Amino acid sequence: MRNPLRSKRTKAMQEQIDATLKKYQSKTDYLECRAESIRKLHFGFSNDELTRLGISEDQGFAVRACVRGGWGFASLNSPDLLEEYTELAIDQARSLGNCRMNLAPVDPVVDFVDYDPLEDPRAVILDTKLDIFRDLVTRAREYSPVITNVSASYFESFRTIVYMNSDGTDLVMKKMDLGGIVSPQASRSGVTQYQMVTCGSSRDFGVIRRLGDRLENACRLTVDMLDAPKVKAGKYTVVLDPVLGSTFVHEAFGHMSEADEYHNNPSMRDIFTMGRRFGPDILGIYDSGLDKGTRGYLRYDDEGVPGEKTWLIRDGVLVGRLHSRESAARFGEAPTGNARCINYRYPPICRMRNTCIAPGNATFEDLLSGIDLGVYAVDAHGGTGGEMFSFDAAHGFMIRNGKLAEPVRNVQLSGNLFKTLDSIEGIGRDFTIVDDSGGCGKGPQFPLETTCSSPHLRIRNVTVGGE
Amino acid sequence: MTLKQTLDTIRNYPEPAELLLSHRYLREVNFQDNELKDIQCKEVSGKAVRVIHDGRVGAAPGVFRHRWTGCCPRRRSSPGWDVPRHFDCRKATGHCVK
Repeated sequence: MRNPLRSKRTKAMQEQIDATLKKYQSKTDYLECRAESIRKLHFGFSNDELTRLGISEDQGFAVRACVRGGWGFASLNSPDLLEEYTELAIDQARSLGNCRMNLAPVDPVVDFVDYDPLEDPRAVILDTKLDIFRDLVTRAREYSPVITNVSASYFESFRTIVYMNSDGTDLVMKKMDLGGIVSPQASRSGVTQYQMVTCGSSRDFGVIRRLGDRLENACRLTVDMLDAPKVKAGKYTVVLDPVLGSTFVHEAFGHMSEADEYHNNPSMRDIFTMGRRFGPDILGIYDSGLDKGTRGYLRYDDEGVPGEKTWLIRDGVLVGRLHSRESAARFGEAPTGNARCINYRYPPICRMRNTCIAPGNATFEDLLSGIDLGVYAVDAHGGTGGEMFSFDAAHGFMIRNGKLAEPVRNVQLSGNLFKTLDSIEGIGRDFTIVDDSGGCGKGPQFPLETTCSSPHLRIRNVTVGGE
Repeated sequence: MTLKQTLDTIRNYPEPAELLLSHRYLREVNFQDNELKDIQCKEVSGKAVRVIHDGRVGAAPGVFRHRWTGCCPRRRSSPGWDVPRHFDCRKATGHCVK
């Protein structure tokens, strides 16, 4: 639907790429053009000092061409070079093409997607934003004298994307993204601990205003963990909180579901055969672009394919993967709306949106019940994914005789993805969307806004590192 | 802002200022699993400005033709600028010149 309120600049971008497509599409099997303007604000504090602050604008174009199965890509800033770079992209595609173009068909879409903010960050002046974070830093520093360092940062971005392709898709999309983080760090007697309070949203500055609600708890944990012993290394039944559960599903399983990771890898294709059992009947994993307000919300991907809810595992069995149009064609499956790029300088590749473990029926008490000696791992401090994964929990508690017991620190979890999925023996009903200020990385494309979500999980026989 | 306007602004700015202009062409050849996957060419044009005020230095990046209002001394390589609005940001952060 054409929008009468579209700006002159957007209209000019649209007319320019429309003219380019019309001029060159007959020389290709497939041609797409993208124009993008990006406005960003970011700042960061280290203790009381505002150490960085920037407001920036960026604008550019991307052209992607396919000729006989070969792809060429060009990006540029200067609008007057668009035709020259379109020709370059086509030449490159032609030099690589040696087979029939293979691109899964989709219905062309003509649409305008506007911002839909709950609280619009553009209506909040910079001084107010700085005051909010200055206040958070002060509160954290004043919580305890052992909190020796507090860092905080905020970003927001607004993007206008004009996308057209030779199939007839014509989209204008406005996207908003924001996030914030406050991290108190405490040191005493050679021991240093930190926690993070973080949030993100694609439509609501209110998440920043509510960031302080969790700050006192984070400060308390930071100080308490100084006295907590390291967890004793071993194999335990582990209960993961939703933050760690969502990190696990994103890093360990989500990335392996991205079909362009293994379409040329026969052994991985064998492992990821549809219908293969990956976990118990209670296990369901999906990736969704439909969750409005989350950072992973995606009405259309960067090939103009509508967002959807894509089941990856249902009743413990593999039922789907994350596709671009090209990977979908290679697998003979339908596109899922997962072709994404971080900006106009990169071509779209298979990426996640909001990757979720579906809720089960267990209460938190049910999950603890029957564990004589286990570990409750809470919050995530990063890690690495893939078939062999390793994650650091921010903190943890021992589980003794079905109850939470003393706090422990340095809780590191590692294992094999497939064995771990198969060892899930309980899934909570407390499904939680986890939106933080970080981003997903894949190759050179970092950071991409994504979300991951999970309830509490109970997994047996997990290797826990510690002392 | 045209190049001439940008240069005039720098020349007439009441404090020490420097301007960097860059225009880069990149070509990337990408392989995946021993298969030549794609060739990418990129044009990256832009400008960066650095201003010293009251012992503090601020730099603003921006892309060709577009205004930039921020300052981020550690990221001078990105392009563009807008001095009047940039000024407040620079004072707000404040990095001492060494």
